[in-house]
Amino acid sequence: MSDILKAILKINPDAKVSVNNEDFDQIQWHDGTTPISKDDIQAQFTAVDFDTAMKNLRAKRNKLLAETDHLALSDQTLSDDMKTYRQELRDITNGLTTKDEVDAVTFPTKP
Amino acid sequence: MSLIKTNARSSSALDATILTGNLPSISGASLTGVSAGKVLQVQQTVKTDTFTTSSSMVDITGLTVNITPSSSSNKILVLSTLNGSQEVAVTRGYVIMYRDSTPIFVGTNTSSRFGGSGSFSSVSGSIASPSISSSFLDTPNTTSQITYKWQGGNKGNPGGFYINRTEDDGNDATQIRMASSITCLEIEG
Repeated sequence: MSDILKAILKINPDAKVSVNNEDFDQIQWHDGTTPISKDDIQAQFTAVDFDTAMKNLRAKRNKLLAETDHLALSDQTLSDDMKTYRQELRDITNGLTTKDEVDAVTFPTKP
Repeated sequence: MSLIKTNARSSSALDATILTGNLPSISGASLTGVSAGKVLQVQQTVKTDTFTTSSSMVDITGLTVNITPSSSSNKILVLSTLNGSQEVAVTRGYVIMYRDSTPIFVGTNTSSRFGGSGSFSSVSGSIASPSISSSFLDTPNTTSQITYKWQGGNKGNPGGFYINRTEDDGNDATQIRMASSITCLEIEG
């Protein structure tokens, strides 16, 4: 089961809504928010899962970049191997369009 | 069979500090000669499923306790643990304890700041916030049924508020689902 709330917010970022137990029958719409159909919500699940996977991928990539940031300071000399490694990290999200592609990503080896 | 050794009696009165042996099993509500402090009843709700909202402050479904004090002079000790998280990037997740429609156990509103009971502070979408634990001795002054409950939400900031789960809630073994509870003890006043 994907995330009902995130799927709703993907359709209407301003929606005020509560979901109990990830159950379509326990959705409460607040503050005059126009209800969205179950089918329309479910249609967003693939996109929500992709967004979450990409967010986690970026978080891991950013952590790895941060670990070598000190080597890129102006008073340091960055080796070619390290330049390549850091560029590969920056490019790691390029061309990804599905969650399966994100899950299959292999991180480059740190020199 | 319960047994209390009778040599615990001093010259003037029973000396409870030297009671030995098997004490009888009794309810605290049956105690006599105690002017206050008896636990008269206990009500508890444990929520083990999840709740999410994008609203400002709304009732957290399935996390309420109903209790009817037997005397208006009695107190209610409310013990609670809330687990969950908030959307890390954009929101703050707040909770407020209520007795019926009255906020209780809240800080003082100061200028633009609002009074709340606690907040979630997740630093990562895949990591739960530290728990919000609270203990509050309430004086409801009533013998009518009262309801203790929590409201939660993001208080005007867009994004998600989550009970018993992390923001990411990925379907893998590194992700936790949690439980939250409210326990109410009626204490003789």
